Amino acid sequence: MKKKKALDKIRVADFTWWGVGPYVTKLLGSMGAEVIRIESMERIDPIRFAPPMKPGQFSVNTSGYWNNFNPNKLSITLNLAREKGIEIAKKLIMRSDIVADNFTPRVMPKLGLGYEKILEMKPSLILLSMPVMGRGGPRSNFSAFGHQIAGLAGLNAISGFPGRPPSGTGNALSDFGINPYQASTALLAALHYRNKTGKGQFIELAQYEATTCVLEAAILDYTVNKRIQGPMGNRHLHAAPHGAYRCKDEERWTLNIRLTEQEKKALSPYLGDPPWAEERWCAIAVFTDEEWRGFCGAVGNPSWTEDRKFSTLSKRKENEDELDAHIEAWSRERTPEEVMHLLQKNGVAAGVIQNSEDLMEKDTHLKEREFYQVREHPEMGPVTYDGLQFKFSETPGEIERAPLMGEHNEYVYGKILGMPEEEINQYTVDGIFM
Amino acid sequence: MGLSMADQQVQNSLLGGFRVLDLTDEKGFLCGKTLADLGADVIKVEKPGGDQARNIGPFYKDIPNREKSLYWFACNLNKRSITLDMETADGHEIFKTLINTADFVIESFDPGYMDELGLGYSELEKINPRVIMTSITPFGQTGPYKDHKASDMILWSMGGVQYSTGEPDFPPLQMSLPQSYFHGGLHAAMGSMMAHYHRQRTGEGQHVDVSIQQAVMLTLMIAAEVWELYGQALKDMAVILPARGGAFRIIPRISSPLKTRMIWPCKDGYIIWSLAVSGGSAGNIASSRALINMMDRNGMAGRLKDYDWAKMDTLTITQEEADDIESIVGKFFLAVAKAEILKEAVKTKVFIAPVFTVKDICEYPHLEARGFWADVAHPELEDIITYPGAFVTIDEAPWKVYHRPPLIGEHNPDIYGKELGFLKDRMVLLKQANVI
Repeated sequence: MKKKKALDKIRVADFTWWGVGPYVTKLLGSMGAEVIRIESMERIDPIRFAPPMKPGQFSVNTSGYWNNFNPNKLSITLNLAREKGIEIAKKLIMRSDIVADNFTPRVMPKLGLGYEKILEMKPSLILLSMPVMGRGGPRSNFSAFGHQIAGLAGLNAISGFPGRPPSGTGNALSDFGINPYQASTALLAALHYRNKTGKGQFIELAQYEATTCVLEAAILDYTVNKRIQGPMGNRHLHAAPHGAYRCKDEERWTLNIRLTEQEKKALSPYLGDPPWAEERWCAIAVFTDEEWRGFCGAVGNPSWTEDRKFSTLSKRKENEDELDAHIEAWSRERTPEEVMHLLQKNGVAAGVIQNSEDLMEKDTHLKEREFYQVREHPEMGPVTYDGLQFKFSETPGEIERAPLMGEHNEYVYGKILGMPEEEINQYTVDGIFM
Repeated sequence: MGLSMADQQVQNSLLGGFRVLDLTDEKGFLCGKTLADLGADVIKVEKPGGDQARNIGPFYKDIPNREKSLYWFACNLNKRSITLDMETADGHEIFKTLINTADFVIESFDPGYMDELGLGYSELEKINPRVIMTSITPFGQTGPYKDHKASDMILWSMGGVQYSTGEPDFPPLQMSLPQSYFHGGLHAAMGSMMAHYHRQRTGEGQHVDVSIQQAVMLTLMIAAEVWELYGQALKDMAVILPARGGAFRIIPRISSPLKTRMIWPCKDGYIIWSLAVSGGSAGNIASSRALINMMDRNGMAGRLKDYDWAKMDTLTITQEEADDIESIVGKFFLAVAKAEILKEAVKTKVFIAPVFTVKDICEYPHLEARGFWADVAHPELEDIITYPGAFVTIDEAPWKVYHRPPLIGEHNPDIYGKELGFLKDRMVLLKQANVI
């Protein structure tokens, strides 16, 4: 039986590029929408050249970055710098349900694909545009990447240790943690509205404004109390202990090269000073008295846990540095996995501070939930993709490998647009399909 | 005469007429909020006495009070509120009645809790086969860690983000303002709407199981690919990539990872600029040239004046060369203020942005000019509070404030009285029995 797909028969004409736009269409694709990425050799998505790339595998198709962001899509090459290219793009738009871009507001109108014009052509279309600052307003032509938006939206200013410069977010949070889900939710709401009324819609997600929604409480703290919330390191206002605790180091690098002590010594000039080990950490958060009792039991009720200094939350907050020192002395002797499991067994929130290797190879939970998905790629061999963040009981969704550049010209131009083979060949020779 | 707010919500919004029963705590607030902002009738179902999360600060004028939590306000604008204890037999029955009126149920209890109450998806489906139930939990409904206790920081750590956030020689760092629950809520809103599209065509409801850990992991971008393509080689060479760059970013390269600065001190704070988006593509090159022009006007371009950015490639540039470029650019940044930088960025498309505080955001003229802010009256506080506005702009169905965040059980009379037709006596009884 053919698998049920939630977004079956939805077609997306995907003009997006870089990060956030392709991420939106990737989400729709993973639930069954037919996403057609419109690309061109004349204007290649820079992400197609972004590392990581396996040495010796350098092509427009081999970026790990690009592949992870573009599964479940078809790719066509179409030169939008040519009039004929625009004409064909319009034909594809006419056969689509959704048109998405993440250019600054000038680009689509300049191409003759402004939303007013497109909606006139097909009033039931849903258009998504994701300019950083939105269309109106003095700064509408500002363009930026997720890291800059995180800075502008205040995310950097709330991450760091007190009294130190902002350390920033590890990743482009607005691009992959916030905006795509908001955009997709709005798109799907608009599809619902279209199915009900026949009317399409222009949706504008100003990435900057949308990102502030995760800081709303801090913003109200300012608009009401005039307080500027600053970074707190790893502390929490009403939990103690609360932090990242160093555990036993792991000599990860020897996993594959088993060296003798003598060999290690011989290699030390090249490897730097021993220990050649990786720091490992566990996060621990204790909120309630019950959790505190569980914590004390887990660490074996040593005498310091009975010290009156730590007997209440208020006192633990007062003496937090000392408390943390006791805990780290204990955790330093154990692996983060031991710490997590021991504490969890005693009803305390704790989690290994996982890196890629932990997530992909050690986290048995993720394995059982089948998060990572491996798909065979014609040029790269097996490629690991991020899987889905949720499980649907009826329409599970799936990951299909990302397309090669222009892989689906024949299908899209031939089958969807009904062009005869000669015409496709002619446009290919003429540089329209490039 | 114009339409009432309630009629506008039904008629002039994308999700008007939809009902969402929102049973979530802070782990899922943003799901209902997002759907409410699109016009759905989101009813926050609170325990008698109010959500526990109403105790989360900050508070209005720092007065700790369940009706004054700014955190709760921020997450529950545009929702309505009823109180209901589903653990009582009466409450249980009332909830089942409400299920008939609901299009979505969203919840964030520990996995299994709803089943224990006899209100799991398999039961709800029997009452209303069209209903979509979305569960938002730290680790999802299945798997060995499903019952693990979590907090925001724990999800940040288990999701792989904490590992790479922070400074070298400091512990891995959380976000000071909890974020992972918001991610979970946004993913849940999208998942709910995906399930809805399927229902719209087939009439079939379903259960959507959102794992916040997995939601957080999607922000890792290319962590899996870096590990897969470089991990083994790095191990073989005994190279351990620095985990936390602080103001720096490490660009993974097989032979020699490239260290580039991302956050730069400037005259009056910090700004973000990166060599990683300075060469290669046309946009990057234009950005770099515009920056150098600005530096040149200030007599600070030095040897970068005629630098060929088309040839600058982060895959091949040496660390030495990168450091040299950065030292010239960094000196210039120290001489300019955040506002100047931003003005230039807008005018000439340099990929550069200041690190804003909430104050900077609130005072940013562009947002004012776009009419972003919403002044919401709170009659009980005899005050007007300024909220951030729409996360999305839809001309046909503009975002509105339908309700200020509700008081505890504010809509009991509407739902129980008007809609379900409970008589006064029954309401009094249920109140006294602590059911509502």
